[in-house]
Amino acid sequence: MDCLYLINKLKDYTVRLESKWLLQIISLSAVLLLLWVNAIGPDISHHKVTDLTCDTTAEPTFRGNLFQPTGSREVVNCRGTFTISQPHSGDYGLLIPVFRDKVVITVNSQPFPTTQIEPWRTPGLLTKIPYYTALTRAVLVDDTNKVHVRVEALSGRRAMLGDLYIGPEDAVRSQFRWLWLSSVIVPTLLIGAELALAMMFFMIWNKRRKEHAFGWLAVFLILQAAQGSHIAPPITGNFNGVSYWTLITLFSAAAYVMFARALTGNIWLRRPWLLCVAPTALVAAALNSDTQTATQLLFPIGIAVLTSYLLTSAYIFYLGWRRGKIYAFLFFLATASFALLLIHDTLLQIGLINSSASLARPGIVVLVVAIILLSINSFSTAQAKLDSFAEAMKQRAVEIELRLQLSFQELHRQREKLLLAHERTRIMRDLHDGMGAEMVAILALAERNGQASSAIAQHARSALTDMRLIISSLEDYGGDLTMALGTWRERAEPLVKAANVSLGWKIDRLPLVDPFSQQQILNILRILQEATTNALKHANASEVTITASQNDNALIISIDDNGHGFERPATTGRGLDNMNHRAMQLKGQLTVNSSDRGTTVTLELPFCSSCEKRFETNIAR
Amino acid sequence: MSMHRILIIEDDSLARERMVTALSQHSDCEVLEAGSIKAAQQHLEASSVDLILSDLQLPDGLAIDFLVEARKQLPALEILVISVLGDQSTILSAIAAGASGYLLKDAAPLDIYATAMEVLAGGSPLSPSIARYVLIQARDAEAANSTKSGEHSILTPRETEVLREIAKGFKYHEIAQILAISPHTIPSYIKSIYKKLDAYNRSSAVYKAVKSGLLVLD
Repeated sequence: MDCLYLINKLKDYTVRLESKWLLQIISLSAVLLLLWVNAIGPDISHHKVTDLTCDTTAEPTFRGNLFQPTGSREVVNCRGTFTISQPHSGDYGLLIPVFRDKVVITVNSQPFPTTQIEPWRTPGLLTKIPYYTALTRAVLVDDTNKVHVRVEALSGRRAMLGDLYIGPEDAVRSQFRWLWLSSVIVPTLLIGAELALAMMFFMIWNKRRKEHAFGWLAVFLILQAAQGSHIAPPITGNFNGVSYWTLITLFSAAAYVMFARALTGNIWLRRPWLLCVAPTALVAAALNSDTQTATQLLFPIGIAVLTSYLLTSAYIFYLGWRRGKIYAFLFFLATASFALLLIHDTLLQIGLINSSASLARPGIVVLVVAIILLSINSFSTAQAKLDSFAEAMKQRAVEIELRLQLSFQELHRQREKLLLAHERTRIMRDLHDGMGAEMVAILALAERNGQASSAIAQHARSALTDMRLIISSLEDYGGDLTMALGTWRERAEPLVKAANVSLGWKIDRLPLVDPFSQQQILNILRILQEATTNALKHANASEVTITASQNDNALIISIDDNGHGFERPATTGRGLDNMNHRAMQLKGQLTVNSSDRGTTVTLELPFCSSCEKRFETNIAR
Repeated sequence: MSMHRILIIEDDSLARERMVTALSQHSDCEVLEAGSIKAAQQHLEASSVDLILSDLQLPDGLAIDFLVEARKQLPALEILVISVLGDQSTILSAIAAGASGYLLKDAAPLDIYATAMEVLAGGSPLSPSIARYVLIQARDAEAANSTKSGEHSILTPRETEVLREIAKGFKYHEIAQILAISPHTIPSYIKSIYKKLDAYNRSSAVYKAVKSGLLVLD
């Protein structure tokens, strides 16, 4: 029963989990679509400056420092033309989606604002801040205009210029906004989200140290936020074009592999600290090499390590998914997408493909969204599990309590019965070994001596009868007084027979007398015994009739004889007192009517209202 | 008049002599006596008996197994158990031993003879306390059965009625009057009740308790 219940519950969970999983896939697709739209933006390809011609030269740097006293920087000079169509009278806009590292624009010999990226904030080659400037109509001439773009690289880096777009302000600015969103706004938001999530996961891990996945996730997110963040101080200054913060990315990738490992419970990586070897070596190499080496040799190695770590994580998630862990599939998708975006960007940087925007950094949105979904999912699942387990537990507790109560009552009853049985056994052994045997011996001896000793025999016999009466009172009658009376008759019969008296028996069906304790039953039987003995001994009766009946209010037991009655005091006085005393203990009423035609002893036992319902069941039914 | 061979097994010599006297003064009784199970066994090996009056607790052990064995060997054998107190556990043991009833140790000589003759005549006396025990057993068995399936109760309604009246202390002729049935049919009910009782008494908890010594007999 319980097992079945649990299985049903588990099925419920699985169904719920699957529907959630579906929801996650849909959300993920939505995010990917959004990114795609971001990357595309409005089409401005027809505004591209097509006749751009560039030449690259190296210029000596003017400023030197302790590490690099002298050096040179790469400069790219590009010239092109664009035409203003006559009817258009509005302002124009100039857009450079990708450049490195400093750009100087001149249109028709007129200089425009200069922009330089901050190398300490954004990863070296992956820097992608779009450049935009408005070209006022006044500067432009109808027909052909000349544009000159000078791109300067920071020391030790390669200068680079992507496409150049010049067109009506509205269209170009609109494209710029899309690029600005994906390259500046989204990463900034991401840093905030990463920090918030990192703190949340750290708190979770702090409370539940066994869940290493949350700990590693926190580490990963902290490192991600620190890398390229506005909160990171510029430690490189201008003397070196390498962004050291970028190196953190390798450690965060290592943390990500650890997270994948912890989440899927995969332990194939026996020595996880090995993951730190490559990043540490790269950092050491970067710190000890010149800018040229760092940028041209170490950077690609770093990218390779990063990509391999990501692919490793994706593989771990894939294995986890194959082993039946549904959420692992979500992470597999996210990680694989991110790795693809990274590859895309790398290809973009080394010039193998040409695209207006880089995707990796905003692409991390995919990962963050996946993480958020995972945490929501695991929390709500855990909560639901907890709720329904709590409900089930509550139900179980109620059931168990009930069962316990029942078994306790049963135990109590059994214990009482057992105690009674023990008591009976003890008394019986005492009576049997001692008094019983002695009495039988007395009886046998008295009988052997003949007539003279018959009084002794009679006393011995009544002593035995009394003993049996006491034992009878301890027996289990299931609360049925009629049965106690029946047993009394069995016990009293020999005495009555010996006195040569006939016993009349008029017992109605009586209600159960559960409320009567053993002591009370003994009291009733004793009264019966006393009254009968009196009739036998003193009344010289030939007939004694026992009647038990009931009216609306009480149970009535009476003992009638046809003897000659008795005078109050003398022999019967003490017996009467005893009977009255017992009747009082029973909260009943004892009346004795004696005349020369016989004696009637009546015991009236009023029902108590609370006991009434216990009369319903009957042992014999 | 046929002779009845009666074996009295009782270790208390005074009580035994009483019984011997009560029976042997009648010309139709031939009485053998034994003070232990061993002595009783020797008697049985030597000759067959019609009725055994036996105390249950003897110097060389409980007589139950011996009585069961004796009854197996002599299917016509009747048994009465002798008891000082006639209490429940003795009665249960008597039933377990295949006895048709019990006899109080202090029973009047005429009662001893009358009871012995009644048993020998094939009338199994059923005392109120035995009747009560049977009723309780039947009720428990019925309760256990009703939870399993709608099996027939162990006792017929008429048997239950008869038992209830016996338990209330009524004699056979009084019961016949109360239930408005012929007095001659009562012994057949009693016989049938005894058979059913014997059938499930052996597996009852009380019997097992007596056998394992948990319940002490008088």
